[in-house]
Amino acid sequence: MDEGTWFDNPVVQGQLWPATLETLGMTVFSTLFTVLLGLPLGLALVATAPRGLVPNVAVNQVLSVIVNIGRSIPFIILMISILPFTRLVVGTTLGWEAAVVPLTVAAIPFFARLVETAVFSVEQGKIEAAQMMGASRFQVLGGVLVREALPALVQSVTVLVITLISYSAMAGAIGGGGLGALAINHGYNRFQGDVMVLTVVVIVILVQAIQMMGDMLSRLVDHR
Amino acid sequence: MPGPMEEQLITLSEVRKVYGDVVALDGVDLEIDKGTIHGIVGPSGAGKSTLVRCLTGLDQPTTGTIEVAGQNLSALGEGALRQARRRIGMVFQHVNLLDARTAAENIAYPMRIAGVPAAERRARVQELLDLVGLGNRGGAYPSQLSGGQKQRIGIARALATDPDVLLCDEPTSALDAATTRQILGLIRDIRDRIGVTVVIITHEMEVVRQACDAVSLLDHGRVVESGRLAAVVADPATRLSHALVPLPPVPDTDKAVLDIFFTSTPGEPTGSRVFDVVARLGGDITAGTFETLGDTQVGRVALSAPHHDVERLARGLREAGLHVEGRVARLPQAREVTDHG
Repeated sequence: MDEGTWFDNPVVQGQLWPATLETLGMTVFSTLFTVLLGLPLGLALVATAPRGLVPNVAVNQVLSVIVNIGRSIPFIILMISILPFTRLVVGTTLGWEAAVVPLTVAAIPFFARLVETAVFSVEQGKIEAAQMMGASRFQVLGGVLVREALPALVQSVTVLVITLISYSAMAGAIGGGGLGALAINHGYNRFQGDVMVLTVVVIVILVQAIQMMGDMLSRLVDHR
Repeated sequence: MPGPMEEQLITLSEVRKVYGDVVALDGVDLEIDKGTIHGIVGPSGAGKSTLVRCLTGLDQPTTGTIEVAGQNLSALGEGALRQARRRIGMVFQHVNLLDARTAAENIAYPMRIAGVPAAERRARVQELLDLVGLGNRGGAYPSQLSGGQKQRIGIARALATDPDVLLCDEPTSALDAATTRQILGLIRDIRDRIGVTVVIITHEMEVVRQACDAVSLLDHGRVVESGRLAAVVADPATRLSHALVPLPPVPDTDKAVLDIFFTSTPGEPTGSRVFDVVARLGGDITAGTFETLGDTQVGRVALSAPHHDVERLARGLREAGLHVEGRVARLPQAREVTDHG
């Protein structure tokens, strides 16, 4: 029972670093898939809006309702309810790889709304100018909407990554691993206050670092 | 200078545009000669914005036809319309440059869309930067340019695909007077050099006076007056002549005021004749203006006189060949002395 505390604690020495890597793994991959799927969904929301490039009330309403449903289900419930889907995709429901699936599913509608807001802020005049040059809808979408909204989109991805870190801690609670699992299993269930504190410190450092990188990148692409 | 028999580049006939139950354009007939700078003026709500949207094919007229360079815009499918739009270079009030691209990239953008090869694009961009007098600012982002410089880049961008028409929608309305003069000078200079036809939509008469060869007045969705600037200005019966040569503020008075309008050509002593007539008939000159627009000299004089004397003065002035109108200053009982020419 002569276990040390803080940095002498074998749990901290043996598990804090792997848990951090697992959290990063969950975050990186779910961010990647979310951007891949959520960006088109967000653009579709903008394009089908009443004054959009391909106005379509029906499609817009359907997409909007789907996004709203996705956003209103609490993450922990969503995660449990799509376990069969997760098993179908990854082959298991345990480990950080499995946690990527619910994280992505939960984040897509969230990110789609962020994209929608970012792209909506591009002035209508720029779109008309491009149309006057004979740009196709696809050219307007990529060359004007996405490109002009890039600083805001980078900020949106930053918000997404930070949200995913905090969601990944929740995923840890039900078999997802990572820093969240460490905090619950040792910090909470075994009353190891030092593990709890250090886990939180690592998460704070991660969030700070990501916010800083996001701000830097956003400034780099911002020429307004 | 193009003669009166010049061919038309743009022809609108019976163009109507109805949004719901709002009639934005109510049968517009308009012809714009090749190589001219044609101003389209009108009060707000006259239908100017709708006219622009129809001219660019961003909107289709409800009825009527719009022909640009021999092509009927309403008969084109979407692909052909995109091609046709490249024949019209558009300059916007708020310029609408893309903030994420440099000045050079903004000018190159319409050429990218049109599929012009990169090497050709680069050469053309430099040529256009030189044309608008910003040869060394190609690497600047729009946020690093002044309002006037941005509009120069906007004009260069509009010319990138070598269009037949330069369509300018309130091109100087966001600029100060000095910059406005420079931009209008640039537009005239470009027309003289490359012969492009220019259409300027504006609510500022000053723009028409400084830049246009011809002018049309749009009101309530119709073209109510149209013609060469010199001819329009010289005709006191037109609303445009009064708007283009405004009388300076007339001091408040309890006398009647007559508005005398006269035209002349350089060398002709019309001005002194007006003063002779006034000296003979009596009355008090309280405001006046005289200016030369192209080959036409136009003058307006406000003459104050006692009410009982107005009829006699008006008759005398008209017998001397002058156009005279009554002006009402704080006097509800005073009436128009004469109708238009």
